[in-house]
Amino acid sequence: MRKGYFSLVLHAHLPYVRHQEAHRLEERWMYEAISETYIPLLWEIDRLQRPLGWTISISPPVVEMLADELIGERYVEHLDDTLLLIERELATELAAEERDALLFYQQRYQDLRVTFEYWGRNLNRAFRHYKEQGYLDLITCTATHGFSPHMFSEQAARAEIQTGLNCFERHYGFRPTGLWMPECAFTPGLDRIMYEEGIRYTFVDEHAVLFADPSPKHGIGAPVYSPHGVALFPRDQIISGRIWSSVIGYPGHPDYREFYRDLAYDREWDQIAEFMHPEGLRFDTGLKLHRVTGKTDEKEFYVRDWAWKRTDEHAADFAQALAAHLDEHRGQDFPPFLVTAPFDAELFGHWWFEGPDFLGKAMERFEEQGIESISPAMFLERHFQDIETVHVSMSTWGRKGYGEVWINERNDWMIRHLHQLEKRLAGQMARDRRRDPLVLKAKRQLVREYLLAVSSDWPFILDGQTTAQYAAERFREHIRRFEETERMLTEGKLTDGWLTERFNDYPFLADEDIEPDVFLTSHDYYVGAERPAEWNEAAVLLIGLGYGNGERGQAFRHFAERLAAAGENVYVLSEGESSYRHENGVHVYKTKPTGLPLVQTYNQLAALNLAFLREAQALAKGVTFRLVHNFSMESSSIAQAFAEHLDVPLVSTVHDVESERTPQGSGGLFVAIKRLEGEAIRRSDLVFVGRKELEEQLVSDYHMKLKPDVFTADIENPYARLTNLKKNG
Amino acid sequence: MLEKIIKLKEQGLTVKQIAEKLETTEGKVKYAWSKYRKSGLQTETQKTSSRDKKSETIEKPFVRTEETMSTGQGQPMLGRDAFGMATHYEDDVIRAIVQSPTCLYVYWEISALTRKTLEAHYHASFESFRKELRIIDATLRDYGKGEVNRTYQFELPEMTNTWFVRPLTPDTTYIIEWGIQTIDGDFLPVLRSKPVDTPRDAAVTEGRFEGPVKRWQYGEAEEPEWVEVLEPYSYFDRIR
Repeated sequence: MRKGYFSLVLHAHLPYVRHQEAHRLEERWMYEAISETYIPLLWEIDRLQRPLGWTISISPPVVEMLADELIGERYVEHLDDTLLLIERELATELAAEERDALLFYQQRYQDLRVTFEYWGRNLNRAFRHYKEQGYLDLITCTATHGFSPHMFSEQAARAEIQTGLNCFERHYGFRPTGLWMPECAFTPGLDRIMYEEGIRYTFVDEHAVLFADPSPKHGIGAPVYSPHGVALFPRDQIISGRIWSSVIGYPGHPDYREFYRDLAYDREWDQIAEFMHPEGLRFDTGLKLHRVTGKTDEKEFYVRDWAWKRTDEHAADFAQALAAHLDEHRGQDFPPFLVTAPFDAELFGHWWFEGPDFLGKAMERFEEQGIESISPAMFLERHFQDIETVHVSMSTWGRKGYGEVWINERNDWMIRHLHQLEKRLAGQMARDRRRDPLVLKAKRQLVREYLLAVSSDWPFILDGQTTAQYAAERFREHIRRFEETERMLTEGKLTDGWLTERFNDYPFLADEDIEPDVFLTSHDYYVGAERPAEWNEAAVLLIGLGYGNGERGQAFRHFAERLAAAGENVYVLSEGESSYRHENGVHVYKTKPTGLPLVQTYNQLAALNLAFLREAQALAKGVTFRLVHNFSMESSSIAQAFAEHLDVPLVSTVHDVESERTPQGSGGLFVAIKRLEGEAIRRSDLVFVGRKELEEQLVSDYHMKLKPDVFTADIENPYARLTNLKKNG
Repeated sequence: MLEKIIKLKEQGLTVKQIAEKLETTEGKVKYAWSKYRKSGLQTETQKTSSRDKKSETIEKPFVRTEETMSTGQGQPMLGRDAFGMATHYEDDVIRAIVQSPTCLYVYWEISALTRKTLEAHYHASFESFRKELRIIDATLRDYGKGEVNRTYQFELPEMTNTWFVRPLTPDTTYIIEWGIQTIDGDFLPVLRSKPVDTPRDAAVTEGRFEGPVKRWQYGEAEEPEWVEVLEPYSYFDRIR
């Protein structure tokens, strides 16, 4: 045996493109993947009949589509159609090479049909069988391949991971400890969620590890642990580049099948019309009869034997190069050198038609070269003690290595909608603690729509600008469907039938896969379910500075506490370090601006008002206020705006006015404060004055029309007049 | 329900009173009322009455139970674009997202309430404010206490709600603020993003994470000493 290891990881993924109606072009993506990648890979696994050390990740959308009876049925129809097309073609006059290529496809499509039927039209059974034989390792991916680093909340990332694992477990009977993160995307903290969900390893691109901090001593020759304990296996670009690169890689060889030349485009419409879309659209038949030939548009016919033999040569070359690479790093110990080669599975077969043959043959050459092919799980079992822990920054395997593919001028409009959905899911679970079957089903449908919308495929497709309309429309559709479901739930109009119909449109994920409360924080649970409900009703919001401090602050506090003692639900918003106290029946919230200080007094007041506003907005999510009572000139803007926003009365207590505070006042600040103060007083539905004499001042300075009451902290039933006022119109 | 709301509203009842009478929430009454008013079709009253009756017989009426909380006061009516997508969410939010080691994507939204508060405070229309983004390098600093390494700001065109901020420095903690430039020269932050780290784009020689990683690994730190963007989102975050 040679020292060192090789680990092949294949990730099978397509977005969920199952549609109830027939003839959706996107569903053909699935047929192509089955015909060109999934079954040919299974053929190689079956041919080799031994432990291969391969790890195959099958994403939940693919798992679900593989298990889907309708797709299975349509796939068989598709095979039959293709066989019929081949038959028709063979009946025409053809060049010998073209005929040979067609005969090859004829045999192949017959074989595909046999294999597909053998596994009962559900290839999950095949993968599961080979896994149980010990030939390969299986893992999965997050529920819909969402791009985690751009998510708004921990809950969304967790929902993707947890739901994906649940779905996989339902089909495969076990929960993998490895998980393919969509786009090999990592961001600090994602590993915490993964670890908590039972995930011990994933894959990253090589720069993730090369730029880790501290710099790992083995570079990409070994995985690293993220700070929360997930092993990150880095892609070895030198080795994998030999395979995937269309320029320097094997797939570009002239003997291999040409991907971009399909029979559909070489025939007159009349010849192929019956095999095309009923609306007259031309699409790939899958019969690609030409070979790469060279950098020319003149393509020669595909000669299967040549391609087949070429894979022998390339497999041997690859094994040799890999052996040399391992030998170069023979000096590495603890752990020994590891080459990790993660790929999109569809690269093999779909893009590089001969890829599965190559992989199978490469395994045989590895044996000759004494190269050990190992799964990451096995590698960890052997070497878990020899792995460094480092900080890995955000990275992906996409163009330029970071987030550019998933956030750019072509797709950035999507992200705010997704973030809103996350917030609303959290809000829904927080506010609505019902778990009766109908509500639970609705909540699950909400999560399902969110997950279908968050798929990284939609922004990816928009970035690439092919089938962009489909991606954009699918995205919007799930957002709209989310909102419809949410509205029906809120309005109490849901029926079981309606929800079932919704599910049937996109029967992705079983209800049991989805736990809506993954969006619920323990804090929200407390507020929604355990915090006394009467604290939320008909509350009075008192806003002002200096609560409890000095003479006025004492009076403010005394007033609030008496109000509470009289049975009012009282909230106070005052300035101070962020805090909450429930004292003498009063809910006292304090907050203040943070960050860089402002220079001008009036702007400092603006910042304070904004800080109060954020607190008030947050409180109003759970507490219904019946009035706003302002105690300080300084908080006039928020008090005014908030009362108006809630459409509740505004009450003001005035102890002094600006012309008293700065008797010789003039200039911008003086004018601004007077204007602010005056506006708040004029807009008040009820005014209290600190002393009787102020009344005249208010009338003269601010043209107050109301008859104010004199404020005392002991005032009985202070808002009675307000009710009377209202009653009298 | 809409018909009843219209009737009661015409009788001069407040939203709260209507909600009480109909045993529903103020939010729902407000929503229905503003929707009705927006539609601007008074004649719809008669039509909706028959439709409502029909639907009531099939659908279960909403019953407020102890397990559900009000959907909040002043629930907004959202504008829609040609595709049926909300054009705004009446939210106050700013989010910075990593595009690359040198670029952050930032989006934001300012609610009508925040606009109103600012307008009330400055006695000026929202349109008249000069809007800016402030880019704050807060690497290893406590910005809450006003500590920063450096900041810069720039003016935003009107009607902007996104920006690709570039060029930035890799391996740096940034906070982005949306705010207004006041006439007396202050920058008033209105929205503040959570901190976000730009990724590294080169191998580390003298890094800053070796110590923090060790402390976390050996259980010497309560919380990681680096930025993690995927924080739990609590809907009732500030309600205690």
